[in-house]
Amino acid sequence: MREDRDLAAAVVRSGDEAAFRALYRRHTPALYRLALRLGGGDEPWAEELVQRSWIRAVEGLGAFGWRSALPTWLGGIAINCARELWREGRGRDEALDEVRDEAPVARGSPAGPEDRIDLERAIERLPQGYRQVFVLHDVEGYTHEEIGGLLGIEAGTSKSQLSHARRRLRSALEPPASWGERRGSG
Amino acid sequence: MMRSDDELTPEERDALARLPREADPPAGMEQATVAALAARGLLRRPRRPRRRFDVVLALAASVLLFAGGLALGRLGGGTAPAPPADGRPRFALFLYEGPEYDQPAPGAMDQRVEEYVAWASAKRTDGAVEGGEKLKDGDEVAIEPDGSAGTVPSPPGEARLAGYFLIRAADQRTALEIARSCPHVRYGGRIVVREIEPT
Repeated sequence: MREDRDLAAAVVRSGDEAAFRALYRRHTPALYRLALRLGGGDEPWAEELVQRSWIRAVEGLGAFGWRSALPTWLGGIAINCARELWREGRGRDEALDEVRDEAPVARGSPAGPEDRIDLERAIERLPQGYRQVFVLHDVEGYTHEEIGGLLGIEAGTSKSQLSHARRRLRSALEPPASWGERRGSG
Repeated sequence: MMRSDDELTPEERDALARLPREADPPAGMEQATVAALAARGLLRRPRRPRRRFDVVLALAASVLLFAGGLALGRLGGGTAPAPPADGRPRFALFLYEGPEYDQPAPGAMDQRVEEYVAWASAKRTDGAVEGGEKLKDGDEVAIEPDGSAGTVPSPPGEARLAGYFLIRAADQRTALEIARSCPHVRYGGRIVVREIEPT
């Protein structure tokens, strides 16, 4: 299997479509999952984000210094593109988030797991500001300082948003079960 | 399980670690991305022998911009599966071209057509796009209430209806998202979205 670096070099050098397709197939599943989470499960938005991210990535591939792994670099590009889309008014808006967030969720009853919302759905229901910080910190593993740089916010704001996000999730997911007990449904 | 602090419990960390790290991208997204990159000159398409279907498209390209709609509407035997019958509302996407529309450069029509085809095929695969057509360039003729026919004036600089797509979407917001993703917007075209009255 050709290394990312070889494939990227072929794309930069000669616009090699086969090399790009190999990179795309290798890294898009993770990129698409990130896009879905950042977009709260909005599939058209996630598709747009992934496509825009790849265009930016190929445009900038020649200048990529390989100081990080390609997926890490792609993730950063996707987050920047997500911010662009939000600034353009694309994607789920906060007003809708609030409505969804306050709407009764399918609370778990002791009777059956089919009534429970799972962790993935609960993350989707978070308001955008909470969701992006939660996804980046607790799912993707970025530090608050890195999130601050990526989102253009203070690290303290990131911490505060994360705290709110976790509280919302805990509230949405209990009673009766914890995140761990619900994970099987998602 | 409300906690007084903000730290994750081991169970919560475990639940997060078990979240899937990947998702299968929709069919057609790869082709749409490749077409978008090729349209920007960032990828070079490998040369391949032309098949009959390609020849039809190439010929259509000389007069038809929205060959994606043509391929869907008339050449129903394309590679994408037929859209599912469902109860989602239908919407019409009216595509307008004004002076700000970035017409393809001479010789670049194939790439533009391919981009529209890729978009429509991808959207057809997930059941969104049902069909579409390019309206032929030429005069617009209107029938007046008295039955007379007359050419509709077309002042320079005014956007003209150039084609349409028919789509299905869960709601208007989704329809708008689909319209936004159409290459027509990226090239400076305007799309008017109208829900179709169920009959």
